[in-house]
Parts: sequence; structure tokens; C-alpha cells
Amino acid sequence: MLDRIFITFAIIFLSMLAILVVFGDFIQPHDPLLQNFRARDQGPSATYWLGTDDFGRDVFSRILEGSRLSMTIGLVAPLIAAIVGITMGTTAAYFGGWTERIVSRVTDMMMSFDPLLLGVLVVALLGPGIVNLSIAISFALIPSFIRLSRASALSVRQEGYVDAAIAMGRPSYSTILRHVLPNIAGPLVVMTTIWIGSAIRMEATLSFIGLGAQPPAPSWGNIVRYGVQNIFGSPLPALFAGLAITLTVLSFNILGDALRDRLDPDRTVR
Amino acid sequence: MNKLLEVTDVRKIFGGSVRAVDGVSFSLAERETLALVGESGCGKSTVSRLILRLTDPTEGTIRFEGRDITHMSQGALKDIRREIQFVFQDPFSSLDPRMTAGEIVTEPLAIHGKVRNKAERRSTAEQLLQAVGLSAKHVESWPRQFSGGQRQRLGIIRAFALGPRLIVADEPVSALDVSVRSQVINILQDMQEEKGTAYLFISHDMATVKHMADRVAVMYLGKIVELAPKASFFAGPQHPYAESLLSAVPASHPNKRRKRILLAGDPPSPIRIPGGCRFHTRCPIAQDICKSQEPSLQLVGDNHLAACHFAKAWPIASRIGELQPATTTLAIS
Amino acid sequence: MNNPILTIHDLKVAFGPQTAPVDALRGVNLSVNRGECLGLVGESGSGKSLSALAAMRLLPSAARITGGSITFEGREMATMPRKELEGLRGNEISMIFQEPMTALNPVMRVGDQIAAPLRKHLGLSKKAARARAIEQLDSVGIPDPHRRIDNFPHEMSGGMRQRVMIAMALACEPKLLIADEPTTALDVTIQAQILDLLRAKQKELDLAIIIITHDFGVVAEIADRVNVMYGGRVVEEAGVGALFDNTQHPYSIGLLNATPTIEMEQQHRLPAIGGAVPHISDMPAGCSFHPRCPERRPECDRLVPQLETVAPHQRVACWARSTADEQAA
Repeated sequence: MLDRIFITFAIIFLSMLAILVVFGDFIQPHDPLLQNFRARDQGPSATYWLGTDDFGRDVFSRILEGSRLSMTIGLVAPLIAAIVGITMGTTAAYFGGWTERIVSRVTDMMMSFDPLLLGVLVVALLGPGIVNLSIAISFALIPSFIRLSRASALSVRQEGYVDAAIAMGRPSYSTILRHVLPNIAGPLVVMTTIWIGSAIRMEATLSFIGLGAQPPAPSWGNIVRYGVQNIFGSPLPALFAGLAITLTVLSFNILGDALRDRLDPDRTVR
Repeated sequence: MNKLLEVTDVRKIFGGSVRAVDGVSFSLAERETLALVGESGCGKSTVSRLILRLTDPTEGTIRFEGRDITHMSQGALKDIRREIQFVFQDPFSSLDPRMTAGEIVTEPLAIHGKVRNKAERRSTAEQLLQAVGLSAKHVESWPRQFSGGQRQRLGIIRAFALGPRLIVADEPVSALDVSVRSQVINILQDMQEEKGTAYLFISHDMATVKHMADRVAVMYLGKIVELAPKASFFAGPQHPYAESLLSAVPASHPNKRRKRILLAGDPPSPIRIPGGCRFHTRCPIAQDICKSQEPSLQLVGDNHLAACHFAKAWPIASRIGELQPATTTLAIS
Repeated sequence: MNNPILTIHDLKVAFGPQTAPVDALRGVNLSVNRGECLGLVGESGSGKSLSALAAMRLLPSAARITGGSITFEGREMATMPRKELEGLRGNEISMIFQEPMTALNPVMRVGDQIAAPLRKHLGLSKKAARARAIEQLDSVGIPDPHRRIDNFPHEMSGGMRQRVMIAMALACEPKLLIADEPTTALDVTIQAQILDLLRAKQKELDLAIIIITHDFGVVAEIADRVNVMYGGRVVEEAGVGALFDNTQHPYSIGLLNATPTIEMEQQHRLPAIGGAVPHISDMPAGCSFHPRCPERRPECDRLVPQLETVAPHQRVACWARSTADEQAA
């Protein structure tokens, strides 16, 4: 019952977020970059729904604008990571031999770095910016996708129906697409969902330490960053942007757990 | 006799030391059923995987319709695979849980481009399902909605969909309930009669083998120790292992509880195969020669081959007294 | 002759929630006499294993006894407190399973596993228990028991592990051994060894055995009496000879005919029972076998037949064999 409430909340929140991201331009009450020094550090009011920051910019509009960047990176980075990671993981598991050994060693090496540290490293090498940020985050997520897809694919590889497909004359790539992938999709979809939350968090973290979106362009991360610097002026920007991050990450995690329950084939029997 | 399949001196060594298949040769004629029997670990399932080219032999050759397929690439094998199909033991893992029954039974046709469109695939699927006594409305059902026996029927009809000339059936009925087993055996026989397919029938169950096979090959520790026409085999197996295997089959009636040749202990590990005759460590009639010389398969009757220094045309039970005092027999009244 | 050591009367077991129970056992009646081997035959879902687990009060947590009684030597087990049950299990009633690897503790030496019940039930010292464990291993035909006693289960073959299970089960010289498909996972030659061992132990210890199997060959080899189960009930009860020579229930007849035997003359087709074994959540009303039965009568889909005596020591639950015809109307 409690689960139900949480899932409903997550779905409603994420749908609302999606609408805000897509139709942000029409919803924004103010220009997110417009400075108004007569209205610095204000509290919530009819004009400024969530107050203003120390440049007098509308916090609500800035969070809306920032959501587009955060969500884009949050979706794009895990998807890139999923495509690259799953391809490498399933191929390694299916063919075995030296392919698998190389992939495993590379994964082990990447895994030995903290994902955030790996992200920092990539941004430091490529320079800050949105594209580089996406690359950095997806790079940090790839090893987890390789690990999970490889482990799942290895167990599916043992199943009779994979041998059956080979013995029927199905080519390798087609066997992977038709028989291996559909049977490991469940846990991968779950993980992708949960990693979307993490990617948003990582974007926020990297932006917070100044490696992400560059001002004046807002992202949730740098709103928190500058909000914290001006926390005694007005705590509202950091508070609301932080809340947006927390709720989004939480919603994706709840959604991921719900999907995990749904997609487990053993639970849908009869 | 036309040789459909010819296996010559095939070996499969896993990990450098596990001699799972240790020099196996046999051939299979068209429309023939050859049963490969033996206990777990004797290598019979590995033989089936070698023939299906799911694993590569370490040595030896496999010929199908005269063509050497031992090292053929998977691409080149595609045409051969149309002619060699299979039924696996486990009706649960051999069907993809994410495919419908209709997709499963027509999968071989789709792979080999034998169905042009969705509608044709569906109507073919319906016909195929009906051919094994399932309802046409099952095309959309998922494997988990079927019972074990029904799943095995799906497996069988999938194997027959392309009209293959050989089907490798690895313990196709041993996972099924008794009352369902006979239905599936009947389907296997009916289909064979109708299509003229040859079977390599792998089993540990002597009674089913007697019902299905034309010829019987007995494997022990990776090698065939006896190969004979069914009648001649069941009338008098020549290898002591084959005879003990037969005598271990439970009685079919309480009045037929009988004297058994009980083998001592378990088969040795395929990592340490005994020298000489590989059966000598458990053989009730082993002699000195058995420890030093490995017997080869030799003709002991009409088309009847056995690999034993003492294979003769009378039962081992009477030879035990002749050669050596009985040590491991146990009389049961 | 009639000296039952265990009697199960009208036993009912259900799975799932109280509001929507799934009946797995629907009134099982069976008894086993002292020193006798009872074969319990059936297919998947017949309730044969569940009956045995219920008799040990070892039901899975999702299942519960909803009615009936289990009497062991005059003591009611269905309601027995746990403490008293623990005194019985492994001491007076023991059980062996199909896959010894899952029933043995993989990280414990076999000697210690055999010694555990000896120390618990008989209060033997560590040393005495070890000595008895070696004797036990020897008595179940394990070569070199002094060395083998310190083995871990994975160091043994399947046949040897089943022998260890038997040694463990028989360590306290129980009066009743329940063997759930003890040879199904084993090769025929090993199966023959284990059946011989069980038979020898039955004689030696005057042991009652309930052997659960789907294989009529095992029944023919070892059972004195047989109960055939289908759909959560016993449908036929007979001496082993009578079961094979004077088979009464259409299901038993069908099963026997459908089993290929090695002596059988070459037949073109095996006689088969149509249809599939029903799932326990989807049991037909009346006689559970009626949709597959060649001798079905009008009353079969409405009324549950009871076990009736058709010959000395032989009872069958079938309307086609019933003498109480007036009931059917």
C-alpha cells in the first residue's frame, strides 16, 4: 500500500517534470537570466513564486531552465553508457575467450576509479561544458553497465534456448539481439532508470564544484553552488534547487524499484 | 546402407585434462534410430553437442551426408543446420520465455527464410501446433503457460519444422511425468514415421531405448564399449558394463525381482581414466590383461561390436564363475 | 499383520491465504505397518511428497494442515508441540531426500553431520558418537569409512552422498524412514545399489519405510504395499503383487500401461493417458482424474469417490469400481 503511494507520487512528479522541461519556455514567469537589483534575495511572493537570488533573478524560472539541462544530461549520459556498456558486456559474455578477457580487464580498471573522480578526470582533460559533461558522466557509468549486462548475459548464455538458436543456424549477432537481450532487459532497464537519478546527481555535483554548466546558464548544480555561496543572503535558491534534485533522484529510484518488481518474469507467472 | 552421419574417432578434452569424449566412432543411416546410452558423465551429452557443433571437437571428424562438418564455420554451417535439428532434455530452459509459442515453433523457418510474412508465419504456426495435438489458439501463449509435456511438444515440432534429416534428441522424455512421457514418445515415433527422419536418441533409460531404438551404443567414460542392433543387444549384451547396466534396470513386476550384477563403487573421474580397459576397476570379470591392454571394438556377432577381451556369446553371469570367484554379485530372491 | 506405526487419516493441507486457499492434499488416508515398505506413487502435483513432509511436520511455510490426523505409535502428530516433535524427528522418524547435496550441510564434515543426531538424541559423547558414525558409514557400504568420515559432502559422489544421508537417517535406529525419491537423481547402477541397501536395512532394523516415487520400477523392486496418489488423494491401495496383477483404478492401469518396460514385447505405440496432470490450483471437481479417465461415469465430475475395499487388502476410490451405486443417484 505504502509502495503504491510512493510509486504514484514518483510517476506524478516525473510527468510534471517532463511537462515543465518540454514547455518550460511558456511556463517561465520571468527570464531566468534577467537581473533585477531592486529585487535581490527576496522571499516567495506573487511575482517571484520561489523568491529571487542575489542578482534578483527569479528562482522558479531558473530552476525550470536548469531542469532542462539537468534532465538532458540525466537522460543522455545513461543512454550512451547503456548502449556502449551493454554492447561490450553482452558481446564479451557471448563470445568469451580473449574478447571477454580484454573487456573484463578494462572494466576492472575503470571500476577502480570512483565514478565521480572519473568524471572529474574526463572534464579536466576535455574542459568543462555540457557535451563534455555528458561524455564524462556516461564514461563513469559504462563499467557498471558492462558488469551487469555481462553477468546477466553469461547466465542467459547457459540457457537451452541460446544453444537452440545456434543449432537452428541463427547468426551470433541475431542470437544476441533476439534471445540474449530480451532476457536480460529487465535488470538493465531497472538499472538505467536508477542511473538516470545518479547522472542527475553527478551533473549537480560536477556543476557544484565548477566543472559543469558555466554561469550564467543555470543548471540545478550551479544554482546550488552559487546559492550556497550566498546562503546568508537568501537560502532559498540552494534549498529549492536541492529539493528538485532530491525529489527527482528519489522518483527515479522508486520507479526503478517498481520496474524491477514488474519485469521479473517469475513474478508474473499466472 | 546410406550413411547419413559418420563420426570418426572424435575426442573432446575440456580444460586440457577432462577427457569427456575419448575416441568415439559410429555412423547413422537414414531413417535409423541409434540410441546412445550410459550413465551421467559418460560423455553422451557431449557427443550430442559435438554433432550439433555447439562445441568443437579436439580431434576426429564428423561427416554429414559425406561432407566434413568438423571445422566448418558457423556461417557455412547454416545450410547443414537445416538438416540437423535437436530436442533438448529440459523443456523449460530450451524455449525462450520471451517468445510466444507461435514464434518458437516457426523460429527455424524464419531463420532460414521459409516464411515470407507475418500472416504466413502465423498460419504455419497454427498448423504446426495442431500437428502435435495443441490448439491453434495457443500461438499467442507464452511458454510458461504450458505444462512440461506441452512444452516438449513445442520443442519437437520446432525440430521438425524444417523437415530435417537428422534429429539429435538428448533425453527428450526424462524430465516428463510418466503419464505424459508415453504421449511424447508416441509423437516422436509418429513424426519419424511420417517424415523419415533419423534419430540420435540419447538416454539413460533402457526401457525407452528398447522401445525407440534400432541400434544401441553403450558409452562408458567417454568411449563406446558396445554397439549392436537392438534385438541382439537386449538378447545378450556382450560387454560386462552393458550387461550390468541392463541388470540394474528395476524390475517391471514384483515377481521379476532378480539377480543383479552389482557394480562396486562409482565410475572413475574422466580426469583419471584407468589404463588398460577403462572398466577394469569395476569389472566383475577383470583379468590381468585388462589392466594393461585396452580392448578395441571388435565384431562378436552379426553387426554386434563389443570392446572387451572376454566378450563371448554367453551371459556374463555364467562367466563370473569360470574366470574368477564372484565378488560383487548379490542374489535377490 | 495390521500393526500400523503411522496412520494418516483424512489429511488436508492447503497453500496460500486463508481467504483463498489452494488445496494440495484433499483428504489423504494411508498407513504403514511396522517393518513394512510402503510405496507412495504419483506424478508431479499428486501430493505424494507433501504427504511425507506433513507426516514429518516439515511443511513449507506457505502450507498448513487444515484437517485430519497423523498418528505415530498412538501419538497425535498434527498438533504435537515443537519440542516433542524435535524429539521424534531424526530419532524415531527420519527422512532422506532426492538430492542429498541440498540436504547435507556443505561446510560440515560428514562425520559431524552423522554424529549430530547421535549426540542430541542418544546423548553420546563426542568420541563415542564418532565411533558410531564410522560404524554407520561402514554399515551403509562406504569403503574406507575411517578416512571418509572427515570428507566434506562435495568430495563424494552422488551415490556416496545418498549413502551418507541414509547413514545419518538411520544413526538413531528409527522405526520409520521416509524416503522421498531417494534414487531419482542417481544413475541406474547406483539406484540398484541404494535400493539393495534400503532393503537390507529394512530387514536388519525391522524398519518401516515409506518410499515416494514416480517410478513403478522402484515400487516393483522394493515395496510391500503401494498407495497410488492423484490430485491430492490416495486413489488405490494394494499389496504390490495385487497392484501389478489386479490393477483396479483407471489411473493406475493407465500409468502401468504407459510405462515402457524392458521385458515388453515390441509394441507399435505405447498406450497413453490423454491430457495433462492438472495443476493444484486448477483441480477438477469430483474425482480429480475424471477428465482423463477412459471409464468416466456421469457422477464422476460431481462426487468424490471414497476408498472402498474391492479385494482383501486392496481398496480403490473409483465410481466405476464402486459397489455403492445407490449413492450415485
